[in-house]
Amino acid sequence: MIVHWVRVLAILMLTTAGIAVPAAAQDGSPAGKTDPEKAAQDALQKETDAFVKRLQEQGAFDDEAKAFVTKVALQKLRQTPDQRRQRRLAGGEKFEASLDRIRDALSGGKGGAAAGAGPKVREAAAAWLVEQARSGQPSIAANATMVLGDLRSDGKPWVESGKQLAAIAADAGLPPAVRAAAVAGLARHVDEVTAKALSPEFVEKTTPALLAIVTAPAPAFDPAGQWLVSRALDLVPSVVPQASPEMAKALMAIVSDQARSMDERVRAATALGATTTAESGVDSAQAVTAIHSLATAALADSLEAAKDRALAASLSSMPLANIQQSGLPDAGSATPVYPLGTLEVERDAWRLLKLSEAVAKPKFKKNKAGSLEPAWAEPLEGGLARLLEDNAAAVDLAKQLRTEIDGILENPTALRVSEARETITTWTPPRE
Amino acid sequence: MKMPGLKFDKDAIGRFFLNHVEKFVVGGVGILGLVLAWNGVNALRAKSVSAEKRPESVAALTADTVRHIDAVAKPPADAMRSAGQLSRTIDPWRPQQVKVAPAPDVAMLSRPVVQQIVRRAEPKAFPVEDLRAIAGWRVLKDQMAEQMANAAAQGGTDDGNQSAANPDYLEPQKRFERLAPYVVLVGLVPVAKQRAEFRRALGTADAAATPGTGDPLQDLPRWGDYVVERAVAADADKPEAWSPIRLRLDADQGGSKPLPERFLLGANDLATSSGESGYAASLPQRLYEPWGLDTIHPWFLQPRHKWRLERSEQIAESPVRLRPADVRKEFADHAGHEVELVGMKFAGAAQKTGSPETVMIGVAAADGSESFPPPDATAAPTSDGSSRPTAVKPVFIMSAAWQKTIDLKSIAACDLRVIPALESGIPVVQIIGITPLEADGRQGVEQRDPKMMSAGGVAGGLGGGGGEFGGPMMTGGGIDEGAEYRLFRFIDESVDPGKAYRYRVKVELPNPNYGLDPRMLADQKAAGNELLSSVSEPTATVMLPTPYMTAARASLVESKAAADSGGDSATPAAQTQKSAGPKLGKTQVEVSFLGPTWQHMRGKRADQGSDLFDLAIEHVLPVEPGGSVLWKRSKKPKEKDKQKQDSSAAKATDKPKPRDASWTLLNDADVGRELIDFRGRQKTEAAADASKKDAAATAVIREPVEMAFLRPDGSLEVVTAADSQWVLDAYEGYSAGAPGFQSEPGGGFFGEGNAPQGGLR
Repeated sequence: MIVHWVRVLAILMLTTAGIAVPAAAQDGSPAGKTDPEKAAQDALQKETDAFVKRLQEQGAFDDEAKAFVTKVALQKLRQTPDQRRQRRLAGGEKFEASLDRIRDALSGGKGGAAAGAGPKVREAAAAWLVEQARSGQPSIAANATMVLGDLRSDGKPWVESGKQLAAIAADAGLPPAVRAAAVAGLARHVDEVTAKALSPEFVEKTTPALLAIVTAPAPAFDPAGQWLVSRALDLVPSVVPQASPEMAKALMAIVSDQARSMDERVRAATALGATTTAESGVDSAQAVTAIHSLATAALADSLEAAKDRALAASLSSMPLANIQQSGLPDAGSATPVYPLGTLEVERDAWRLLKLSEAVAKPKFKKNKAGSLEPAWAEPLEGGLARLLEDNAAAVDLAKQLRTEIDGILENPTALRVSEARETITTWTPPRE
Repeated sequence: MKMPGLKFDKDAIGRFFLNHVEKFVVGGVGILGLVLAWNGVNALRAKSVSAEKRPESVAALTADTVRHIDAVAKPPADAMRSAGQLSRTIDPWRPQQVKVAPAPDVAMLSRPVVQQIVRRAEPKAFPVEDLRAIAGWRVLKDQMAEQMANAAAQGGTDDGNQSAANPDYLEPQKRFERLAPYVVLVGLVPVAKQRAEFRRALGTADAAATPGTGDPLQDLPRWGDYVVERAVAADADKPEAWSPIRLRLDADQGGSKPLPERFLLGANDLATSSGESGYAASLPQRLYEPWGLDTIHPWFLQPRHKWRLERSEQIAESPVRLRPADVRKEFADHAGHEVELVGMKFAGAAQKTGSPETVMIGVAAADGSESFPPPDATAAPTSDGSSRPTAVKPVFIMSAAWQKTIDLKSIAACDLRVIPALESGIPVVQIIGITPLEADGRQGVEQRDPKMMSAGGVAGGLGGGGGEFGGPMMTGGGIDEGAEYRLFRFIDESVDPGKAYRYRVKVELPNPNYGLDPRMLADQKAAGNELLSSVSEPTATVMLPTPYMTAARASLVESKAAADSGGDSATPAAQTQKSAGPKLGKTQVEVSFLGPTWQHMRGKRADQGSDLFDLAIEHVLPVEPGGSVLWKRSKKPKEKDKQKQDSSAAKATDKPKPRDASWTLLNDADVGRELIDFRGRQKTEAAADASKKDAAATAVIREPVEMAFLRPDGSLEVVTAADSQWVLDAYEGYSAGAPGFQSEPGGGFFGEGNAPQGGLR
């Protein structure tokens, strides 16, 4: 009898085991298959932990660390399909977190500073990143430059990396994308410390870099080059509050250079209006006249772009014979009936506003209704008109530009923009 | 020496005659011949001409005859009689009276023949110039899928077994579209230069008939064939391997059918009537976005080639003019014919129809007496997903591509050129021309639908002009002497994502010397069958981008979606956008990536090529320069999830949700771009509106949002919100809420070159 019960018990135990083991495997227990997503996440996390730990313990930015930074932070665009898949499996947020940890570790931030490895690691990493920026494959070089711009010290952008970024930005031998990444890093420095004063060392290194960028001859059509110059012009008012004659001359040249993009010219005018002083050696009346021409050109450019777009849209259904035989149609009559986007009109408005401020920037006061109004009767806050003895015409131009801004924002059509252009054209330049 | 013995006996004599008689006969004949010959020679030598046959006698007789003739022709005046009828008839034909015209200047005989012939050398064939390649992706209509669906639907209707068909094809909101990569080649065929070379080598004028053929067109260059060669970019130290492209004729159907290495494209849109073929390939259909300027060589964009507008006046005779009030009444009378509606205006924005090729547009009489609004957007959708108008009034439609070229808002009043028609019982009026009216009622310049112009008179009026491209010369327009170049265009659809290509082209012309008399040629080698050019300069390396396009929005999508839906987050698009990601950090910007989801790629990765493609989708995600790209999209939420989401929407967007298997993740390598830098601050629409209340309008104008992206090849892509607006608008029309497309957001796809003008303006 006992033997019989032993047999029954054995059968029950075997049956239970037969059910339990596969179930456990399906639950992801060690007995089952490995989840590739979880494995990938774990792998990335482990690698990052090891990287940070090594920096903290050894305080050295060795080859293994360089390889890890290269793999995760510098090679993002050059991954093989398998690497991409792994990264996708690892989860975007995990990857993002790893990037943050790498930056922190290199910057002597959270983990690095606590371990006392910050400055040493940061300097070693910066030297290696500069090396990568100057000799690496373009996308790696640009990524290295971006990581360089991320390096921080005591929670602020690291001045030393700013100097190196300035050197990279000024180096015309490097690819424009790498230089643009360097200017982006410089912009981050400027943005974060605008409220306080910029470090004199930073200004000393950055000013010649900006000058080198804005004085370089512009190629015919080069989006990367245009972006580089345009971003450098954004930094000029902060880095060079008072334009030297050389800088002012370069800015004036860009404003008048019809081969440059409209964006570059408008931002150069903005910088000119914000930084020109009596010592800058600029003929203010001539500069105001140039800005007036630029304002009409900016609107004309916008209308032309809309016309071209209309033309492009009609090409698909246009008989090729017409194009081959006679060229492209003129996209309509003298009346601009082609569409202009609202954002394009807003961009036009912003450009007119910046040009207006470059000519004469008023102070604002609240009116009875409580809204702000320009106080033209009071001394100007900025602009070239400050430097003119008789600035009535210049102030009139600034007022006219603001009036037209309101007009085109209220009625954002090509027709209204065209009318605004014609109205602005009627302004008479000051006699000097 | 023994003397021969002579015998004269009977036997000896008989034997002698038997042995020698023939000698005597031959000798006798010979002697007779000699005598005759001697007499003949002697007669020739000695026999003289008779006296009456001597020249002087003949001359004397002639003179005597002339004298007699003259004596008869000029009788004494008294003996003359007046000229009779016969004389009057004959006199004008007397030799003295007949004026013989100079002999015609026959070309062949007016010059030394040999001197002309030796000038026919072999002309040189010039290659295509300035060849350029542009790579991208496009959405095209999947005709095979559509046919299958139609067949399945038809079968289901017939036998009642509709469920047997593929359910994917029967979903009403499905559109039959496919994502396909392409490389467009454009170049310049040196027409004028080639014609000059033919003149130089052949020594004939264009209009002169070729000697030996009589064909006035024989000596004109006619391009007959071309070969496109492609090389997959290899390492710098390896030589490029060029190979001719084998086309897949049935690429649109998803199969592959090799063609001969040399081929001619079929009839293009150059001349529909003559069946000409040419070097400019017809553009395959592309949905949502026009091909744009990438398919035209920049040379044709030069201002000096601007079309003269007066040519549009050749379009057609004046159509019947109708007042708005007569439209409904006389609709049936004018169906299918052009009609001009006078005193109209546009009312409201364009609305999508079931076809991406047309849009519905509301119109009204300028005086407000009559209106034709588009059908209610909430009308029940039809089986093809489009909104079927229910109103009795006719629906006005116009070409979607053309509509994008005209700012309808700025036209206060206009005359419309339309074609009324009944489509499935619904009165539809297609607008094909708009003539703006000035304030004083004067007509402005008419804007015409370019597509309708091709069907009308303009193309025909211009004469086509492509006869020399393989086919016969055109009949009406003659040769365009002013055309310096013609467009070469080729579309390679057999390209793979992630690969880099270079292209070059060889062209071939029939040799006008072929078949001519060899004596007309300076060199026998000049009589070959064809003239083959050298290969063109190769294009720059072009790399097929990822099927994602970047776009910048001026405002944050999250709030926009909420504003558009009036706070209703029920639509999937709103759900998608609401769950787009965490709030933006100070150094973050929201980027829109237009591209397929992995689900839409049917499990294939971007680098593995695309399969059937249903809908594009916009991926909106916060990105930080130097940071990674991550996008999360949840499945369509369940009802209970919606309620939860409404209550905790803010929390949901503050931090990333736990990862879900249904989410789609993208990384930098997937989209092929990495954000380097940006400027301009994106705000919510609500925040922007609030700030406007507090300050002067000019004080709240925001800096335009602009972004710079790094591409894998190290180049920079600059994207601006202003230029992205058109791209996003094309996409948004197919997102949730648009009439005809109920649920899923869809969108446009854009080639690298068709992205908004790269760079800053």
